[in-house]
Amino acid sequence: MKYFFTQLYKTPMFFVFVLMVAFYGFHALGRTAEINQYAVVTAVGIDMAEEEEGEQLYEVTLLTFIPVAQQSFTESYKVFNAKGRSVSEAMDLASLNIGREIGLSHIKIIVLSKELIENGLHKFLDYLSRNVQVASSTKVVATDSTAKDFLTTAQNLDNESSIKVSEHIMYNSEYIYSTESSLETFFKGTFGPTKVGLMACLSPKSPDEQTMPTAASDSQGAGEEKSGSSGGSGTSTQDMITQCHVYVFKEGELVVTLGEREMKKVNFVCGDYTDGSIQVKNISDKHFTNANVTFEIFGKSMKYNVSYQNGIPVINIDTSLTLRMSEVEDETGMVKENVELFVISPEATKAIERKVKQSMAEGINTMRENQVDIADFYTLLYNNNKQAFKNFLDSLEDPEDYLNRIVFKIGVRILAK
Amino acid sequence: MQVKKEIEQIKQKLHNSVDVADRVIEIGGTTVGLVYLKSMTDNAIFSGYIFEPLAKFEGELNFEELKKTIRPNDVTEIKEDEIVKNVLKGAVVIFLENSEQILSADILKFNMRPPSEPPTSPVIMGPREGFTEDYKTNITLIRRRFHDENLALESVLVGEETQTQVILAYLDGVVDKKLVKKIKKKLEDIKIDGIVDSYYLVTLLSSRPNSFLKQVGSAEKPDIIAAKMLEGRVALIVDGSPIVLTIPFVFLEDLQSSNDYYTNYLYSTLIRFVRIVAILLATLGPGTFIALQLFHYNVLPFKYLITIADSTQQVPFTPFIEILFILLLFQILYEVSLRLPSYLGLATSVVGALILGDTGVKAGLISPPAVIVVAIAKIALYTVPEQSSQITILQYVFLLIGASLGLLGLIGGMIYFLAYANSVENFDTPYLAPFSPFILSDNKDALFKVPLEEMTNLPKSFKNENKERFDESSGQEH
Amino acid sequence: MRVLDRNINAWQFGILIFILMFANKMLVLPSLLFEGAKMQGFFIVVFLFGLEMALLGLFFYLKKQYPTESFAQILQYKFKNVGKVIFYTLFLVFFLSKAVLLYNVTYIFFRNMIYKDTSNFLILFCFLPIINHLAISGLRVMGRTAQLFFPVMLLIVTFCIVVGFFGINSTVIWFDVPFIKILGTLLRHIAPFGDMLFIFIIMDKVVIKKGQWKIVFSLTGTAAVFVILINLIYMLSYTYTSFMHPYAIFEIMSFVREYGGLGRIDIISMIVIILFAYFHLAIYLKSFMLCFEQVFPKLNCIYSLVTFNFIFVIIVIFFIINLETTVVFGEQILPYVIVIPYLLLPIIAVTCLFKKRKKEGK
Repeated sequence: MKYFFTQLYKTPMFFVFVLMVAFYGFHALGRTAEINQYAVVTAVGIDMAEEEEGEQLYEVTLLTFIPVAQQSFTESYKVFNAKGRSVSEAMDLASLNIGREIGLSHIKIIVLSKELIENGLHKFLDYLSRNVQVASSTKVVATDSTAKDFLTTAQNLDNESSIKVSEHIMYNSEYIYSTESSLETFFKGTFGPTKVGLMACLSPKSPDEQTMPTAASDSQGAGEEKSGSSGGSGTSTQDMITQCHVYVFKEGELVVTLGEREMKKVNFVCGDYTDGSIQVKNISDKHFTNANVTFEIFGKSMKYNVSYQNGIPVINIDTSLTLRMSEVEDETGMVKENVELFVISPEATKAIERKVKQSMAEGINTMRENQVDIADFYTLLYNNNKQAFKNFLDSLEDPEDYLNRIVFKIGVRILAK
Repeated sequence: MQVKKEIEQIKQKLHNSVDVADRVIEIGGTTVGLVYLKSMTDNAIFSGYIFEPLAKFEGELNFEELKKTIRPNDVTEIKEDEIVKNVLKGAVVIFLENSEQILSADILKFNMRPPSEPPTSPVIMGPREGFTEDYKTNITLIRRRFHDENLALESVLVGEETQTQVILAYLDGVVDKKLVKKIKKKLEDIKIDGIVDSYYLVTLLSSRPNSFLKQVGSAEKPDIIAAKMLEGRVALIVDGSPIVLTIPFVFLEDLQSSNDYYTNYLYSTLIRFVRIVAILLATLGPGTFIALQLFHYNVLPFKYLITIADSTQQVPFTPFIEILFILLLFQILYEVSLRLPSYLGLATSVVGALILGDTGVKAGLISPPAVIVVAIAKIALYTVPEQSSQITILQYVFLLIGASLGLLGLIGGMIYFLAYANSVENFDTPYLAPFSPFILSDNKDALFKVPLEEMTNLPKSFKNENKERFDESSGQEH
Repeated sequence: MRVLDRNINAWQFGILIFILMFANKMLVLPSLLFEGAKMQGFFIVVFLFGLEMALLGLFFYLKKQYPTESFAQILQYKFKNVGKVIFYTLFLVFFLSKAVLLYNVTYIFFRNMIYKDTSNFLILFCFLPIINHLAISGLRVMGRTAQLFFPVMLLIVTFCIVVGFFGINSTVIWFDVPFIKILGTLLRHIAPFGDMLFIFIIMDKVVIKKGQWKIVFSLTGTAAVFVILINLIYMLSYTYTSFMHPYAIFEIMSFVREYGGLGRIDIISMIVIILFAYFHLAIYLKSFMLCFEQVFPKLNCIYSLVTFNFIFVIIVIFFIINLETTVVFGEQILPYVIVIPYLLLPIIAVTCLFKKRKKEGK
């Protein structure tokens, strides 16, 4: 005993530490794993529900990972939902339904219904930005139908094949939108100088309706190619998720819905967009006559030059495209030349230039009409000449309308691969 | 002196033990008495070199004649009170009737195992001989590596009952003289009834005997000891133990293996990093696993979370009890496999690995991730076998910390124990040198190993006569 | 109980300063500065680090003049015993309040990020024994342990910065905040600075050989550059959304949450935050003990330890357990305390230097 006390005197902190650890150690013996206390949510969907007693209800749908005792370690998910007067209240009710606390730190995707987007996006975004658990890299998508439907479809997809919705979105974002559709980028746009945020819209479809009704007719885009190929060439009965359009927000309010083709045109103006294809009709040169030629875009580089004329900014956009001919609908219909040495003829080049210029002009017009600066010309001008740009903005009656006052000059250069 | 009376006295002092033998012979009218231990003396030498010359002697035998007659090389004149001591050390004590002078001839011999490769530190390419239990053989093994006058061997007797020979071996001109004096003083000051193995000295020579840290180096092979002596350390050979101790000791020494010096230096560097990683895995592995499971599920990668969540569903225990159970199971298996004869060892490993592990998982008593974590930690432990007992303790401590305090506690615990290790300075040598304090020149043979010709200086982690080992410009100390 | 404060060498001294330069400047400070002064917050950091470096320079000259004396001895020599006691009492208050602030900032971070369901005492009890142990073990042990962890800290911080560079997606630099607002922000958020007082307190325990000053200066410089880089990266990556991302070094890693299927590697930055927090708190406690020794020379170190722990726990538990009071404490009370190192210290040091010179002149 005396020994014990001399030791205690010599190293008091050791004993405090031991005491501490022992105290919490006994507690730890009975502690269950945190995984079993939390319901790990991988996707959240928010819908507007019907009104109740004059108050708007929100419906929260959670795609939740539920551990199953088995050796194969499969991911088994279940969909839970609950309604509440606010998002947090709905979340609380959902957690009561599950019987566990809701863990949002592994969220990969947030789905918002169209109704919510049109009416009360602010509320939900505020909830998200205040939540420290949700990673800012979480993908945010909108859906045409309800978020509940979307997540049910997503769960079916995941169970039957192994198409993950988050992977789907990641893949699509590289091809379709000019930005990835994540929480961070959305907020960055919304709170940035242009106040424009983009959100992709996906909708669940059954295979019979595979041909898309409105937005796209002939070229379906990369998103569907993917789901078609991995879904087993149309023979499977499962639902699928298709790309339809992009919602454009300004200051958190829905301004315009861009279809896929419109978005593509807008993307021509933005620097980020690198892949895709161009179709040019009725080209005649020494190789073919009246052909419809599709070119695959391999690379795109853009140069913006800003100059001021009478206080009005002029933006020179020089685009150079690296192309490869990928498909020719000729009258003869067969390849005659060496494919490797195929040169794009001057006639074809001209046709492409015309087509690209037209697309870009249409893209700029779309932005102008809706006063949404998707390409972020604001920052470009601001960085170029702060004072001149400020003077220019001051001279405008409506500073928001700056896009319509800027002069654009477009130049296109075509390189064959 | 009356021979018969004297012999009786000696026998009585030795409690008439069975192996005490005496001879009394008459030579030329003089009675000669011989006393020795049958168990510790060489029969052939006794009869051929002592008894036979005496029996053949003709003429008057006095003490001078006796000295000339007997032929062993180790003959000394002793006093009366030293008789028993000499007999016990394996000498024949000879006395003459009516003469006060006594002669002692050392003919010690007992059966020893030959130097063989020790099981604790086998090498792939390198010397295979190891120390034995006999200190004389051990001295020989060291002597054979230093054909130089500078090798000094000093002897100290420790233990009141055992009177164990402890030999201090060092290289004069390399070692710090004050260190030798300090060790000698500390050894002489030890008041203990007996020393059975060199490990007794490990705690007795530590500045903090209650500490769980190992503060004295040990090795079982002469090549390792020779290398350490070349760096200016003192070797302690304890009679009866094949483990030779070295002082001063730094933690780094256990990270180095003799294999490192007999292979390519880049490979040794790689292996040393592996060892550091293994130590970290062994100490922190189970603790981190439990901390993540109990406190920080959101930090786990999602795929791994799924695996853990799925596999722990069937386990009836809480995670902490589960991992404690598996750790204990491994510890029991380890202990059993050590104790059991080798032909039964196979049976235990089959039972342990297959039946307990596999069936336990299948029956849902334990979860595969926990088994994997514990298995990795337990295997990683033996990359540094000299420190395995210390790391095992830390393993349990960090498991407890991880389970009770989480990640914050684990890092705090690490800081605590490293600060503690930093406060240990046995024989004025910082325990964690050359990492803290950082000594650049010593780091040539620490985590990184440079080619031999670049290690120009003796280590600066502890005091020695700083001389150049290799003829080149010297390094810098920070 | 006896505390052996043996000397530390240039490396250990430099590493302790390295830790001092970091700690709570890389967690919430960048976002606070950005909120107040937008891009010009960067200049505030640079300016304040300039001040810290100036203090180090002052220390350099003072150490040159008084190679073996302690700061207390110099003060006693110049300002008599009363002056010394007054100054050291002020220092006591300084270190205690800084420790409370640092603890609260880290505490709120841990509670938000990794300890959701645990009691508040758990984090408090994690810290206290460790920092007490480090302080009792003495300056040398603390220095050596810091030295051992230094490569880890350096590696992780470098990793964070390198990873952070990939997160930069804005090249806009705005300079449109009026000077008066920048000044206001500077004064409001000055609290994490001023730690250089510590090096004066341990003045006599530092042995720096000839030519080793460059180690100290380069380590300090490296730390300053790192913190400035973290600030810069943070500002450029979260130009418009900084309100969502309060924890700078942690947030600049969050771009790589899905890195190579490993999941959240932002946990790596958490390790360095924990390490810095432990050592920084231990440094505060050590300084508190050393100051206590001067104010109450007759009491041994147990009294100082008990005083610190008692007041610390009381303040933390009863007054500053939530965010609001921490903000009030950090932004309205502490800035007045920071005056001590930035105003008092230069005056003291310069007087000491000046007077000595005069004497030499005679």
